[in-house]
Amino acid sequence: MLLLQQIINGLALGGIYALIAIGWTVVFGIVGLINWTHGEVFMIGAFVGYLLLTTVKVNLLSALILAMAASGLTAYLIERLAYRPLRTGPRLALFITALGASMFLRNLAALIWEPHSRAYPPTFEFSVLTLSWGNSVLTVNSLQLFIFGVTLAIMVFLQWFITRTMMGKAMLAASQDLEAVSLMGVEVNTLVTITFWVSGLLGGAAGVLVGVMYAIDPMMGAMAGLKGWAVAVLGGVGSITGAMVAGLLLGVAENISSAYISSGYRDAIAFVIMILTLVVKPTGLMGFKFEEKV
Amino acid sequence: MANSFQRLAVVVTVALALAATGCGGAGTATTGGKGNLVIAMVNPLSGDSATYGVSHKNGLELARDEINKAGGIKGQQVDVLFHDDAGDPKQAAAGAQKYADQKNVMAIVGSCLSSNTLAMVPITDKAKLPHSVVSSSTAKLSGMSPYFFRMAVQDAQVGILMADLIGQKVQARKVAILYPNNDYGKGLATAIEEQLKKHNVAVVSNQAYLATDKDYSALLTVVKSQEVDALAVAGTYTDGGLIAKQAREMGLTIPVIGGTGFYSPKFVEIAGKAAEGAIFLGAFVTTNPDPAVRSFVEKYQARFNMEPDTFAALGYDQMMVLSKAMEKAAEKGAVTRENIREAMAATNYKGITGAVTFNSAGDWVRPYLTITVKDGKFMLYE
Repeated sequence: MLLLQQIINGLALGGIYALIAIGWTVVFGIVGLINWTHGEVFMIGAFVGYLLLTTVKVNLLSALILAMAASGLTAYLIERLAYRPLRTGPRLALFITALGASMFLRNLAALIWEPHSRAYPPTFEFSVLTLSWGNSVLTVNSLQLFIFGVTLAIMVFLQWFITRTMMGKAMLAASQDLEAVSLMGVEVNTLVTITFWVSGLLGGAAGVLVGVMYAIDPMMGAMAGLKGWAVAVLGGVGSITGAMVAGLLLGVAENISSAYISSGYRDAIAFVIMILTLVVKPTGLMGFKFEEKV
Repeated sequence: MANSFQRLAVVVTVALALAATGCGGAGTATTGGKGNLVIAMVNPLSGDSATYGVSHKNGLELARDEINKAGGIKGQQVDVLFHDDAGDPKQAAAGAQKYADQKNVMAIVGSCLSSNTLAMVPITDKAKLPHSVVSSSTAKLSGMSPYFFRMAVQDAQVGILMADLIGQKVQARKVAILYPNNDYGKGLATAIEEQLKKHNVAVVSNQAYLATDKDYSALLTVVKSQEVDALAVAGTYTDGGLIAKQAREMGLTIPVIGGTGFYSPKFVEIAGKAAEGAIFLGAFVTTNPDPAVRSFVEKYQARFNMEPDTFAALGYDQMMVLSKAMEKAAEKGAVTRENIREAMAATNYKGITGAVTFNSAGDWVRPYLTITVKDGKFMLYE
């Protein structure tokens, strides 16, 4: 019963990991770039949500949507200013630019918003639902349900976008071969722009959800970016379904290991899982065979 | 191919590990004007621990400006130089060395972090530079140098008082302890557990967590299943606030008892309604009816537009203690490092955080307040 409770606890966190990882993985799948600024896009979403809720005092849903838009815009601007000029350059130059942009944004945020933790105002009146039969009691918080619901809704929408719209299909195709897609008459710049927008929207959503559930600070992107990367590797780099499943798995695995091994090692567990995946099945849970694009 | 991706993965992990440890830069400092008394501060002013450093700096600056407005130390104005150690002991040591070599620096304050202070003390000791801190609680610092004075909260002492609080005032019989997996948390948790034994209180679990963690639901689920009647948290306000919040979110209503690290407006902000009824120890509380405290809180709020925390209050007292020491040194003849040290050792100053005196090991053995949260405000616990 305790185990089941830990699984329920892990799902909300896992949903957030999945959102971050999808945003990470779509960019990698299409542009082939390890997007280190994704953690910062996520952080900016969390802060925009915070500012909207505290100063403008909008409701939670509007804050979520506006923060997603702000993150999408940030991701787009990063692509436009930092990545696009280097797209044809060596892979390493892009990689270093990504790291630099990430460092810059993180410290800029610390300068503007002060480097301490903040919490969202109590926007959400949570209630604790208790399910019991016999001696066992399960508690589910409505906040967890809300987080999980939002995550699911976004994922369903994304799945629809990818598989049912022309642009989504082009993205899917581009993740296999960007060059071939461009030869088929798809404008690469538009495709990349949309990819970054999608990535940013998802990152922003994850940021607001973290804010509602936990607390935010300008350095939050560092670990989130790494976790997103671990999840993406576990799910199979470039695979959206893989990232969804792996995100939930990692959330649950972290909770179970915290309860039964030690909470002090929960971050280590994420990376051990990632390294084991790379050793045992480098393509991840649902990854296709990864081919270097030349 | 998969191989090249694996290689890339390793490179990236190493690069990030380096980036995570080495970010942040050295701070700048302005040199003091002629004839002014110069004090230097080494503190994390950027990075993860900047909250402490910035609060400490604010409190110190408020006191400095008051001293200067009132005519300074026998007519000499006080200047403060700042060095940002970004939370890194190497940069703290570099700052200590820089100021130790600067002969016009009369005293040094900081850092807020134990490991940084540990790196600084050998340098300030060698330079015979009076060094005082308002934080850095590790037992290793006691008596480390005759030039070192600690106005900090002491872990061992706080642990014992927390256990007394749990055993006597809260009257719990079964307790769970959670602590961050660092020197501070471990030291405090051990001290609490030892003292609880004396009160015949059963400690059913004593578990570590990551101080940077945001999700404590796994641990709290275990705590809930153990049916304890109090939860002791040996953490600080961010993790403590999140633990209190998440405990209430899963329907856990037992009292949460914290150490001195809980005292910050951020605790209430992060925990929200769940902060109500949390009990913890502190050196300072803004709602203290003491007129000296009232006046400090008003001045601080007017200038920085936020409530002062313990670091700010201690920083204020620290500057006052230093100014008294410099005055005494000036009366004795000249304001020198040696004269300041002598005067510091004989400190007897009634500040806003209590009456400051130092024992032979350079530690301030101080009384604590018991604080609770009522209607979102910190109050003295009856």
